[in-house]
Amino acid sequence: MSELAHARKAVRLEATNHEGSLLGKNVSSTKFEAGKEAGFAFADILFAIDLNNEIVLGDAFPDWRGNIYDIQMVPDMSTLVEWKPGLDSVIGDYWLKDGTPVPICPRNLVRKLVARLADLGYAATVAVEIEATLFEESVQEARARGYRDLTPLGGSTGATYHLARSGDWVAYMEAVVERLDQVGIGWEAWTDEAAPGQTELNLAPTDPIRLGDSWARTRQVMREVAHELGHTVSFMAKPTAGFGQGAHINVSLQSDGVNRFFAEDAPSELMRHAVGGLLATMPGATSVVMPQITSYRRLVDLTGPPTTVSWGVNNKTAAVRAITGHPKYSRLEYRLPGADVNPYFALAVVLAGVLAGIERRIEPPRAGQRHGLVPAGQLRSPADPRHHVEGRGRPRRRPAAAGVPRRRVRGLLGRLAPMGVDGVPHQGWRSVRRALRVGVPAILRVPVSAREEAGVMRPLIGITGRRFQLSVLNGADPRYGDRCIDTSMSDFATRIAEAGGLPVHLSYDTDAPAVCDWLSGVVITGGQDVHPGRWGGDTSVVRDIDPRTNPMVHDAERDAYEIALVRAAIERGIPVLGVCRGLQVLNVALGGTLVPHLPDGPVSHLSAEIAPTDGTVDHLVTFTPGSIAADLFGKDATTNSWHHQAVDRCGVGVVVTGRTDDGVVESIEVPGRPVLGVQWHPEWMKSNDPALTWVVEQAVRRLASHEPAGQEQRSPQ
Amino acid sequence: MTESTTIEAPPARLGAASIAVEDDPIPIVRLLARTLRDAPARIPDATAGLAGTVIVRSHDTPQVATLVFAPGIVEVAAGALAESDATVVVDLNARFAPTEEPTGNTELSAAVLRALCPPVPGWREAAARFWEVTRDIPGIPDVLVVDAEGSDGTEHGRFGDGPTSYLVAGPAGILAGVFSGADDFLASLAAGVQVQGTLSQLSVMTAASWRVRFDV
Repeated sequence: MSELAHARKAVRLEATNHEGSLLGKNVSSTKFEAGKEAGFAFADILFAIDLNNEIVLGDAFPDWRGNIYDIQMVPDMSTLVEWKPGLDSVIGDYWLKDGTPVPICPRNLVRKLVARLADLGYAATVAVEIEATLFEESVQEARARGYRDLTPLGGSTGATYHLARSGDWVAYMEAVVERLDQVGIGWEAWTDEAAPGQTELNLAPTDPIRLGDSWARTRQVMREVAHELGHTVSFMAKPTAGFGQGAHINVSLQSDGVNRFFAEDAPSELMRHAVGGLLATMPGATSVVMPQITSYRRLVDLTGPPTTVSWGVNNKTAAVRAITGHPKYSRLEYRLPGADVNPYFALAVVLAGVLAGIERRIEPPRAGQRHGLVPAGQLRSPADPRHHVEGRGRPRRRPAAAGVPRRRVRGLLGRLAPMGVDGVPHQGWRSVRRALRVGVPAILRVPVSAREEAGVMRPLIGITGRRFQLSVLNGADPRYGDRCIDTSMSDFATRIAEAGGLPVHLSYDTDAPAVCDWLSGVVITGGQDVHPGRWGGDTSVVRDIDPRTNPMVHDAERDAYEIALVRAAIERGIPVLGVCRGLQVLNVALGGTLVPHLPDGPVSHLSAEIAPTDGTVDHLVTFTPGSIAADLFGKDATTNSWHHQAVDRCGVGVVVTGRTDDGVVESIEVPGRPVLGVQWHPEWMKSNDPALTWVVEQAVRRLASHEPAGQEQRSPQ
Repeated sequence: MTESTTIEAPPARLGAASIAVEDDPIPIVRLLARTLRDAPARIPDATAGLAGTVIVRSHDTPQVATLVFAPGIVEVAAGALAESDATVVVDLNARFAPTEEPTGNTELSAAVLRALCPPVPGWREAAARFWEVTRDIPGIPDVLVVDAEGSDGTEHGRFGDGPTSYLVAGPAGILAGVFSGADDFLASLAAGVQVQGTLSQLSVMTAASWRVRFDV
């Protein structure tokens, strides 16, 4: 409605910031009339406060923020309703003085994505299932108790679909839907949910902007009714020890009045691509749709929320459920968001994922037919034991994703920027890959169960190492002291496993071409200098010491087996990562040479730091735009460093893609091949270094594109 | 290469105990680990010979961590182990000053409190390091200007060069604490430190203070 016919005394201006509750102010009718076209001033700080109303500091401001600038909230007159006698309510959007949207204005973001869809000829229809928990106590009582030990309204046991709820619980929900009817919010159903005091309220399908408005207002209604009836309502994702609370979003696309997700017997091509986009963007989206620490406590196996990035047809255990075969009701259900999500951001994430999938024609993995909740292998669960340790302090600054190291959090949040500007991640496959890489180990474990469901196996990653006598080890039994052991640094295996790969050690006795029939990736690890005879260096430096008794000295046998492995892997297109000595082996295997010894200079390459470490500030590596390294690390990165030799002349096909300020080569690649060498030690970076994830990701891709040949030889996991 | 065949590798920093922290450490863990890591530079034998488990509790927040001292290593983890040798309750914003009498092994707790409160460097040394280690923080001003008030009057410092600058003024002792990470930057504003710059720069300087205080 554009204007209301009744007399009003005041108008409540409403919008959300990055959280999800309606913020705003009440203005007189006169003030509203005077300002409804130009808008009303709000301080930009409203996008920089947390739920405790604390100003969040710690980052450089974007251009649109300053010394508490004014931004304009312009009412959308189509949302004007009579909220209660004498008070109207209107929802607005935030704009800058130059007439452009505030980049992180949630509602404007949805607008932009709706427009992007319209450019493709589609209109989205969306609906949401709102879950909340009701408590007997008033908010004043709850506050006095520190929000602990509250009494679930309607009894202390959960009762899914049970109609015999007590009268107080029923009275609350009836009052809520009566208010929804009064303010024109379309709802379809409400019921009790699985946890004590829990309810689910379904809003009717409509366009995304209208649904976001209705969703935010419904929360407001539920809070107001709770206040009026002397109860408390919580939209936390995990307010009690019972089942958590989600906000499942259903989405379909129409054009010319036809549901384009519909096909007779299976998901339409458009639906498939939408699924592909939703899955590809899901790990990165978690910081948006699960914004609080408690959001992650909801993710418990076998309790309903998705704990894997997966999809299935009519499979509610997957993260995305496809409902197919019906000309009208064919749709996707996105089950990841928590009840604590900002409604507009949640809708924006879904629309952005759908758009990414359609624009890039992303094919999803095969749909899961089995249970999507219990993956084999290790699960990165929010039920981290540390969360249950007594008194675990809450960080003063709320992380976007609990349990995610700061660097990764930065990466996740950083994805908001391109999404905010252009609506969807727009850097082609790179951003999608980055989203997967950044988010997978941190939040949802993508590869294992999703690929397991899809019938694709985890990639076998070979790791090289060295051989020495057992007597080298302190405390070894002298009876076997002259026997040799094959070793590799376990940090490689650990990180490869975390990335979803299957690490295997490669012995000196391994036949390189034969083992490459089995491997999907190879890591050439660090170690002693490559024998100078291999690259035309001064062989007089080689000491006559048996490398089996001293693992620090030249080892011609190791050189031979690793060089053969590099050549065999590259020949077959198997991804290769060379680390430190491994980078130098890569270069030498392709005919390059080495600097025999780096002189002292402004950059410390042979560091005194103890592993693991992220290195020192002087060791800043700058990468060549467009390279694999730049894709992984950005423009530059500070890294650790323990080497005294370096690449001199590049081998055949080798290009340098990263250097420190003193010109020392820090990364090399072979364009057109999945080959990367890094002079530092990603396995010993304290932060999550993406190099090892890269080789696993490349191996997954190769495995997927080379099935089923040889598949029967590989071990399913 | 990782190891050197043809040269003598420089000595590793093994003089002090290695400080081990869990993944994704919470602020109190970061603060303890950073403090213990820096302590040997001010107290050479800060943790030498210490053995046992000490619980460190914040006096005014739920934050708690456990320190496990063993030969050559100190493990810092969030939460309180059920069994410990000592417990200290400290003010995290007052350089770990104890607010209650420690319980348990008094010798161990006293040694831990000593290690957690090493002398801070001079303000100029601390400011120079602060400027250096925060260079890569996006939006950090080019120049750090310091007016340090001491018993002999105000001393001036200027670190870096460029068009954007940020002025921090206040008692020299507190500035030294802020720049070395011993003191909380925002809390120092209530203790006499004054700043001059934009709000955005204040935000970035907050990040910089976290870099030196929490090693993030």
